[in-house]
Amino acid sequence: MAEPSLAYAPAIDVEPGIVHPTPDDSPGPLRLREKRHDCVQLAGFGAGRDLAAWLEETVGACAAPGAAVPVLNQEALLLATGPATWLLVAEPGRLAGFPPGPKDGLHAIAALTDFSDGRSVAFELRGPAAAQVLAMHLGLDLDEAGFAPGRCAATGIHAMQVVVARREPDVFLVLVQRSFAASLWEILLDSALSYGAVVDPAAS
Amino acid sequence: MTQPFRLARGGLVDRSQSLEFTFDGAAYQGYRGDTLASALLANGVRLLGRSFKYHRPRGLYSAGVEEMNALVRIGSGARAEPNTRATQVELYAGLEAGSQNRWPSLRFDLMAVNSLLAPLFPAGFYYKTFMWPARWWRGYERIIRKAAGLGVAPALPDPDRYEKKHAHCDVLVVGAGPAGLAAALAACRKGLRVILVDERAQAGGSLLFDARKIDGQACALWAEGVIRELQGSPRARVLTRCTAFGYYDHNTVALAERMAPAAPVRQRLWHVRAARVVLAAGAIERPLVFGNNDLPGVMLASAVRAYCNQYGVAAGRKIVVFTNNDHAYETAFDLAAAGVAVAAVVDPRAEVRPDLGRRLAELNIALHAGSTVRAATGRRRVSVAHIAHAGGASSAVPCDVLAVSGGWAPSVHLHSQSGGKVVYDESIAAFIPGAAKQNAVSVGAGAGQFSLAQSLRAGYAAGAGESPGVAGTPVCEAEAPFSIAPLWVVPSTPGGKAKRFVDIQDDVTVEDVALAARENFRSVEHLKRYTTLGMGTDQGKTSNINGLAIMADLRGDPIPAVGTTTFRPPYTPVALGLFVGRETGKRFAPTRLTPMHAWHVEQRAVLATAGLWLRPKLYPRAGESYGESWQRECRHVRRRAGMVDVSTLGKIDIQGPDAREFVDRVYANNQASLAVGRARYGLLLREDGLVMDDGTLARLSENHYFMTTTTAQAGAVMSHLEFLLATAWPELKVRATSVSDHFAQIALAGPDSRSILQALLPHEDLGDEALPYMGVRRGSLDGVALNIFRVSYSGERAYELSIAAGYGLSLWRKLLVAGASCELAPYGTEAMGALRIEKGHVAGPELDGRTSAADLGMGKLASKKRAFIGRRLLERPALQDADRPGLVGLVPAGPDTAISAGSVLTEKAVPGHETLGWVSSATFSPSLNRHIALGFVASGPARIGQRLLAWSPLQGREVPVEIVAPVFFDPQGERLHG
Repeated sequence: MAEPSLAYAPAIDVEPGIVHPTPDDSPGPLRLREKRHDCVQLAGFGAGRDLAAWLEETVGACAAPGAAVPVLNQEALLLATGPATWLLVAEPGRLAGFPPGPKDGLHAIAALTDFSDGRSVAFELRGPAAAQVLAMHLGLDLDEAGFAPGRCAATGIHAMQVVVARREPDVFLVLVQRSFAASLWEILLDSALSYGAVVDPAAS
Repeated sequence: MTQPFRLARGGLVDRSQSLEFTFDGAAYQGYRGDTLASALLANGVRLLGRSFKYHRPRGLYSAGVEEMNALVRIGSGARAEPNTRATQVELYAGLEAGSQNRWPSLRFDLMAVNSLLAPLFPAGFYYKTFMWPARWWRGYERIIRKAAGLGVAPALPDPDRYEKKHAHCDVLVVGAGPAGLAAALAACRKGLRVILVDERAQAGGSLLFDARKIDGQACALWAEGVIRELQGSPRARVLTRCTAFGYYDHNTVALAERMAPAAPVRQRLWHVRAARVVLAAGAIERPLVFGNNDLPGVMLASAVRAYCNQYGVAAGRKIVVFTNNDHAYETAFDLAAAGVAVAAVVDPRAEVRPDLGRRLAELNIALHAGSTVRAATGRRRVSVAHIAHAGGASSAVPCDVLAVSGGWAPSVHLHSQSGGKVVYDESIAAFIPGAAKQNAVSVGAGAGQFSLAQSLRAGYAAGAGESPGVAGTPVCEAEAPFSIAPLWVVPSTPGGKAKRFVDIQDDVTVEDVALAARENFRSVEHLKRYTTLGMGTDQGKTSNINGLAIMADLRGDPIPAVGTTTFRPPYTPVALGLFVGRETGKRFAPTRLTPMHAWHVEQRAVLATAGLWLRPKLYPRAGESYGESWQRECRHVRRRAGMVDVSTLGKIDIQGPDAREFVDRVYANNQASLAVGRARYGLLLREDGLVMDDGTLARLSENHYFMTTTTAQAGAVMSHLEFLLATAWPELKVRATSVSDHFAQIALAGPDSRSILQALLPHEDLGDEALPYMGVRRGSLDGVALNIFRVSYSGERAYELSIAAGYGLSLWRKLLVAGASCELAPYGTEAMGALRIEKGHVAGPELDGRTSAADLGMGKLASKKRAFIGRRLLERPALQDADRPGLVGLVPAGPDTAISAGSVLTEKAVPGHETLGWVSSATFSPSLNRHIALGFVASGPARIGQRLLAWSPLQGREVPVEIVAPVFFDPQGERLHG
């Protein structure tokens, strides 16, 4: 019998279902799931102006600091996570071979690093409790007027580096280093006790 | 009859909901809406505590946060909460409360003997009394500690849940009285994000029982309407039972929110960042200082009024009001309206506002103007008020409650905490907020604006961020201005012995303040420390102003010249659990797990923490002891092959046209000559020339390097590289990125490692020519990129496999299958540590931040020609000293016995004798079947062959050792290739 092929293992191995029942006074439970995706980091040399121009030309936009913008025909999300640094996030397989064609030009202006299995274990938090739960850990002003859909921030939750992006008013994406993922998962679910919590099937 | 002091009507309590509770084991009844204090008062319970020092009987004094006497224990066992103000505890069914600081009982407290010994206990007595003989101090200390304090904190872990939350707003309003409600309303109507907080269960403050009208509505109804409007706005949040206890930089205010008893969360800590803060914290009534002013039954006039109006409770049957200002007259009027007898109003002012006098006369209440209450007397509670009348006459008025008011102290605490100054306002005899340091404004009684109209006007303007009088300002009828004649202390009766308390909680008397002044502790800060004035759990809310005014008089200075003590957070005591939140036990810090963690758990590996990581120490088999297990793993690596999860190693991706230059500058050893496809040992120094870390550097392509660090230093090295690129060499076109989490890493070691790897990768050429020692291969497995580094930590032929973390577990399993025929087995950090000691490889215990490259025997690695980080300070004479401790091997000189890591190396195991070095790492060597160790000894290798003692005074162990070369096993390194 042939050896089985290498298999991908998600960072969180749990059965979907209700973790905390939703109390009567809750606006709705936190819905949480791990969302697999591809992720590359583009880190420009110097001030990163050349990379910013390259991004405009190649992926269709360059996210300003603190922004998360859809690029590559809406198939990927470009997050500005630090000085001259961007994360490009997409469904699995969508970034294979990125960028297309010769890469010499890019390598002259930036470092391209695959992060698909590293920092970018992604949790999707969904529901009216999502912002409430995040507000228990983040000093960010999560008001929709300030941290609107399309905004992101590189910040921390309980001494764990995270990148938080707001996709929709009630949908957040939290990227965390894989080794911390189980701790973050546990903390998020624990924090949702007053709201109710449901684990949704992992998505890819 | 239950609740004998409950009035037939009135109050905001829900009389349809009766609640049972206990105090000191006795059962009582109250109503929903009561506090523990109001319910006890309704039941006629007057004795609620004993004083701190003299154990004098004490009763309820206030109705709010300033309560200094009625400190009780709530709950029992792990949930017991000591020092809780009964005035702030909402009554609930089954509440269990108990008194504190008494023995054997509250009524009969043997420690009350202290009161008789009071002449021996003046202020600061313990500074003078326990000075000699010095050796007795330990005994004194034990007794003092036992006697000190009020409540006792439970020793059991707190089972309650505490949470934290962050919030941002345009306007934070502290206090939901008239000014605060007006401010919140204005902010809300302007569309601003507003948070309104109030420490009480119900917003409204004094409006809840104010008979006047605002905007044509009864005050309580107006307040209700404002709350409704706020609650209906998505941009407003109203938090009751929530105390703003700390005001910090950047307009950050900390709130402690108390939840209802049955809620799953007990308390919540809020960090609120506000663009603007409106402080409408109200004011606290000051007591008057006269003889026996601490007797149960002496209460603040505002509290007596609050119990009557808010809770429908008569504080007593016959009440005397003693006041130096107009406000307390309202207490007399309200009591009379509720049918409670008011025996007299005593006012030191010769002239009293005519309308007040008229109303008293209409109610048949005697007014003693120009008079003072010299003392109260009674056994365990007030029974007589002794009045000194104008002209020298005196009288004794029977009463059971003495309602006192010495004026009002605006709550300037938060303003002061925020950095604002306070200024003294003669017209109200109080300190009020001066200029604010942050974007904050104080309004209402908290700013000395004691009229309702003033409060509403100032509050509304502050909330709107506009000038007073802005359109929409709520209006109410005008009232007479506040009038007060300061009375800081009532002279004692000649020869009278009644104590006059300034700080009732801390038993500080007028005489104590006078003593402090005589002994030159005249600064208000010295006065506080010397007498303990204001150092109780109430932080002097009712005593500080009286105390400093008395000191001002003694010094002959005006009050502003004496000033106030510093206001510091918290405003009221905060449970420590609130700051801890959920970060207890395993949540104290996050745990990092490797991609193969599930397998380690499945195999019942013994796990150990390494920093935040959880790593397998060993994989015990049935019947094996701890030692047998890891020694078996060790031997198996040397004999066949083993695999170890090294995913915790730091991994840094370095890319850019200047990457070669960069790595050559950061490593002490030459890296410029490293060829593509090769790896090299790397030694990193700090700026001071000492070793920071070590690891390997692999060159993946022309401008692409892969650096590994130790697990412990991964973060520090990454920060070091980023710091250098950002500050020292911004011109370099290089980026360093931590990829520690992106890769799962497995070390495969042992003589059979190559054949196992070949079984896994049958199409790869793994021969020594194609992949030599320190070679690097970038391959793939099932289409997934797989890097192979031929490096070794064990001294055996070995390979480190690096794959995207999501595939780590699968690779681990596949490798085990591929190695089954070679009996491939996992090994843990215990075996890994022993293997590296056998080889003399340095690790954390040797790279302890004190050692140089030369100390580690790697001095020659450091380049002499080029510049690198640490080069300059490496040349310091101290680091060139040949006598510096250098790395050596150690073996027992006599019978084989364990050498303790951490032992000192010396010639004589005698305290104070010269220490020549230390043992850094020690193990039993399964390969050599003896104990071995690494250590540092003065002059290092020059001492090889000498004998010393490895002495561990902590363990009481002393082992003769011989100094040997640090590489114990395969010194020629032949097995790396075998």
